[in-house]
Amino acid sequence: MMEEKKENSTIQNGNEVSGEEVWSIIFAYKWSPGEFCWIKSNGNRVVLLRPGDYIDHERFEKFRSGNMNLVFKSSVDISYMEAGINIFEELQLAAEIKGDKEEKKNSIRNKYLKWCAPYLWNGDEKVTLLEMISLFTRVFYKLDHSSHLTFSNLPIPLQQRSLSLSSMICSTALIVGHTDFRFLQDLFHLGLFFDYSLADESYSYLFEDVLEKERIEPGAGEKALDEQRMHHKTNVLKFHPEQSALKAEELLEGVIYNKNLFKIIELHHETLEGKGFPKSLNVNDLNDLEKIIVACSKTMPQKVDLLKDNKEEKLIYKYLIEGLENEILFSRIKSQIVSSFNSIGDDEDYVEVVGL
Amino acid sequence: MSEDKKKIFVGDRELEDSLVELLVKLSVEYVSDGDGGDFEYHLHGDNAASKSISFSPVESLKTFLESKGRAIVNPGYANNDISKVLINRFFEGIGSLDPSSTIADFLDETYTLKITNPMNVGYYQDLIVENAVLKQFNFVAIRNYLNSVLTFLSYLKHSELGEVPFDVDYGFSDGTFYIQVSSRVQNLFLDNLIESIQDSDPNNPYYSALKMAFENVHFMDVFTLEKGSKLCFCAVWSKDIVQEEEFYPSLLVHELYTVAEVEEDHSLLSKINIVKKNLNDERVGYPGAGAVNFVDEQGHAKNNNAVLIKKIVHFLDNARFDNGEDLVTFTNEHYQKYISSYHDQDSLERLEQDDITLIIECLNDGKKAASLDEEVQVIKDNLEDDDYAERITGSLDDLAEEVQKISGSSEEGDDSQTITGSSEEDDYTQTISGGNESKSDVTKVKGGTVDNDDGGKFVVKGGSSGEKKKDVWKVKGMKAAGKIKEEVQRLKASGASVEEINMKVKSLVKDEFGEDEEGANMFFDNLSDMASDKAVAEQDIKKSSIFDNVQVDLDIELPDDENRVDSRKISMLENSVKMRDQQLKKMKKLMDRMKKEVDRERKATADIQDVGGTGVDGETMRGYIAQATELKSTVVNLEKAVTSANNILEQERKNKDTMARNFEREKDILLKKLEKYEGTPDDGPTESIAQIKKNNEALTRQVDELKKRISTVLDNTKKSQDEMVSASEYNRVKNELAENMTKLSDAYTERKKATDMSKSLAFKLRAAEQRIKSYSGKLEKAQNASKGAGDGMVDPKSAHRVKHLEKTNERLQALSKKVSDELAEKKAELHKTKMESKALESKVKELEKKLEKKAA
Repeated sequence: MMEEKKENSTIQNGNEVSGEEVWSIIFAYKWSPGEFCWIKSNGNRVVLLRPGDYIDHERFEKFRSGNMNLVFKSSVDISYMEAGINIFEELQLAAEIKGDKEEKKNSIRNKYLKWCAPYLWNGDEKVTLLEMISLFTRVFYKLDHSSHLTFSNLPIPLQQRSLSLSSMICSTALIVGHTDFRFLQDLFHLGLFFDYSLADESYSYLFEDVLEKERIEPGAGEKALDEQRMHHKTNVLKFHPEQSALKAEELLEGVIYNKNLFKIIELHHETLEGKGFPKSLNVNDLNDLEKIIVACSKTMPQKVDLLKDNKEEKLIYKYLIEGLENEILFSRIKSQIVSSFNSIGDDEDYVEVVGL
Repeated sequence: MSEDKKKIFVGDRELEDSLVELLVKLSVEYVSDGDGGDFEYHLHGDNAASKSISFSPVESLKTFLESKGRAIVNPGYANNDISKVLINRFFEGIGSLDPSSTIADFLDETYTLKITNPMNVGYYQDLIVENAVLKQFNFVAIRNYLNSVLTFLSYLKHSELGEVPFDVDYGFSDGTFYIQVSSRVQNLFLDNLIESIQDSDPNNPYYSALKMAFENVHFMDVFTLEKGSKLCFCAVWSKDIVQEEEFYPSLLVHELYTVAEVEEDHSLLSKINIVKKNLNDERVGYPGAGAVNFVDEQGHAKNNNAVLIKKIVHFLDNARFDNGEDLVTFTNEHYQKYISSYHDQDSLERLEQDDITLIIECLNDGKKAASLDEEVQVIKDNLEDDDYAERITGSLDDLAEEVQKISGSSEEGDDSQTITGSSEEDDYTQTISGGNESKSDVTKVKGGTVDNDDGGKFVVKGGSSGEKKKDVWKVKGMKAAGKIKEEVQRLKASGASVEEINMKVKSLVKDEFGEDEEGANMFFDNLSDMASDKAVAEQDIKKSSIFDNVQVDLDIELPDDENRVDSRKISMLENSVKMRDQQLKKMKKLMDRMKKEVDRERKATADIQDVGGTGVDGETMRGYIAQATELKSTVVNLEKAVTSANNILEQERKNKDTMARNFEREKDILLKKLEKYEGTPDDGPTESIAQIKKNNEALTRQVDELKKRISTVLDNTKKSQDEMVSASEYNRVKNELAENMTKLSDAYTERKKATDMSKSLAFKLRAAEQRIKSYSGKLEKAQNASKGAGDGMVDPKSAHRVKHLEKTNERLQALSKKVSDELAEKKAELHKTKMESKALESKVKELEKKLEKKAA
């Protein structure tokens, strides 16, 4: 990550670049931040990657050795992304330094809040989920070969939703004060496998609809699934949090540092009213991190549009404040987020989080 | 609060009015019998024996908690608003990680912190302490408390009983400072807290961590949540409390259970988050022994008695061989028969039924015996080198003691040992008295005795009894004991490994035994087993019949020891294999659960089909049953929502009352003061009276404002309840009703259509009949005419017409029948829908009434 410095820092959304710059973008990112095309000798264009597609670096190595002429049309603001990546690089380094690392980590959190504020919070500039995915996959995505293969073989809509959800969870966790890089990385990786067990056989557009209904109204998905299957319950939905957690534990054993975090996978269908599953926990039982997971799972649609209307305003505000507008029980998390953004200070300041 | 709750006060001390008021408010009955003692209470559903509350300082907090003490309340200092909330929770047996609903109201500013690295907590402590300094609280006490609690949680994390992040909430008002620290936990028992309330020991900071915390707070509440998976510490400091002589801190402990309590009442297990897993070998060494994990790897980890079991298996195997029963299946009867001859009857007390079963299995199944041998070897391999040397020498002493028991005195210079004592010949059994002639030292040696019987002496020289053989090698081996001891001590000093020590001991024993290799091996094995057994017994800190085993952190390793790193890698690999096993087991369990659910569903479907087979349409019936189930669950959910809303409302009312009362009380005090000043104008300057009046007015305004706020809160709560209840559940039922109404109207339309169709068909039928009649008339006429014509022939055209008409008639009649049937069916369906709709309507009305009542 350190070597991949920002030669492409001037590329704005909608810009098209060619030549070496394209290759530097290809090898810097893991999910495509725009459209990559091959210009054939007759001048025709062949789209190789669309925004949000996984970039298979090995395949592109071959293209590169074949001197293929590629162009890249950006769908994100690369310079903004690079600034965000620098912040996380600092956070990673802070974990390794000796001395006042907590102070350092908290000042980096302040920087992250400053970075988020104009685009993701105030909406002075517009960004999409693609920006978040591009940033967080580049910073945190470090699955080993087998787990990467498993993830990249998930249905594309499920992949994109998982990436968006993971990015939102990590971002919110850092905003409210979880500053440990490895902890955030674990959260990111685990968020990718919340619905892992559903990918086996059952995931289809129909099932996507079931999950969407369940997200909006707990119990509705189960009912819809029931109807779809002529009242023959299969319990796929009911058991998937536990199954996914078990399967993820097996798959990611060597990837996850905080082994106890696997449990969070089980919680993504809980609700603060106690109507969720599998444990029917409520607002009193869940800690802040768990509430963040519940909040993000609740507000992130099952079918995400990475480039919705090409650009969206104040993404974090939209998902976690507007999205939870009528949810009184989430007020603690909401006030933590709001107070964090309201207390942004100078670089070295500790940003207070209003708690109760 | 349940009516079943029984609370008896047996103390003789006077309680503060405020505390009495609080207890009354909590429906706590109390009786003073003047006998002295503490407050005892029983909570509803609490099967364990009564627990106690102390209203005076306790001499030893550890002893108090061990003897079922669950609270120490300082009646003079329980007035704090937050303390009252905590006391309330204690009696209700509830807790919350979200303090915003109850505690935040009493604080002016509140903050939250997340600690993800337990090795870096100082920065966060400083942030909190900084606020304590600014607000002029006893920041030293607060810092000490935080340090202690976070140290305790770090130790739990180290022993994999706790997890990061640690969530820290803190807040303050002018007079109160509040801190809440919580963390996810597993396998946590009250014993873990108790072991941390001991005298301070710099080598074991964990042992005194919670004691330190308790000594630095004014009020402390410790509880677990979510079936024991979250541990929460709440602490309060009040400026009203100055450290007077009579002051002592208050402590509440709830939803935490000791291993003994769980053993007594197994249902409590459901309140503990039991996780069976391997310890992480990559832990960083913390000073001291750390927290004990009372739950083992598989729920029944390595058997503590493995070495002992192996010895007993060996003994019994010999015994049955001697009795010619080696080919017979070994049963419990055989066990009972032979075990009484085992030389170390005391050690048998350590065996449990499972162990005995394992012994019997090992004697019948070679594979089991081999796996037991492997387990014993693992235990031996895991022993620490230094300790092992100590244990070998210790075991030599023990063996010497045993030999002494057998021989009384041994005479050297012969390969055989002469044993002194009176002998009675009785079926080849010799009774031998030990040196001190006590009955307990009488040993029976079975087997063929050898002559040389000489004035009460006889020589044991092997024979058919395993015990006798053992005696010989023991006595022989003891001759080498001195040398072995010396050599082991020397090896220990030179830092030799377990393997090196074993090799040396073996060679020394061989030297002593000469050609008797079997005897040498037997002696060495026994010595090594004894040493290992001792080691395992030392690990057995606390035995529980449920958890069987205790894991002790024996292997805090230095990273520069390469050999150990290798073994660590191997053990990590082993752990990973075990983990896989466990995951598979978990997965299987989950699959079983799913299977059961699917079976249940299938059964239900089959039942439905059975019902459908009696004449009612299966699909319709399924629909009705599904609808009925759903309605039932809706009603249950609604009732739950109503109860929970009611509780919230009740709580809000209580809060409102308390707040109002507090303000009224303060108002009264100020009024009294004012009267005092007004009554004695010379006692103080007039400015003070004016000031107090002013203050009083301000206070009255505050009271009014507060009342308004409370009523707003109440309104909001009511609204939110309405929103919560009506927006989701209630609306769902309403929607269902609307859906049913639509269905009803659809059915009406269909019926209308059917009726219309039927009418039109009937009309057509009548028209056709008339036409047939008219044609018949015409036909008749035509026939008559043709008769009149005399040829007697029927007009073929007319005949064809008649045939056609007859067919049409038949078709119309069939159609009419079909329509009538359909109509009847539709009518029946309509009737059903009507009934259903009525039932739903009445249910909705009932629920509406209920809601109105609750809201009122």
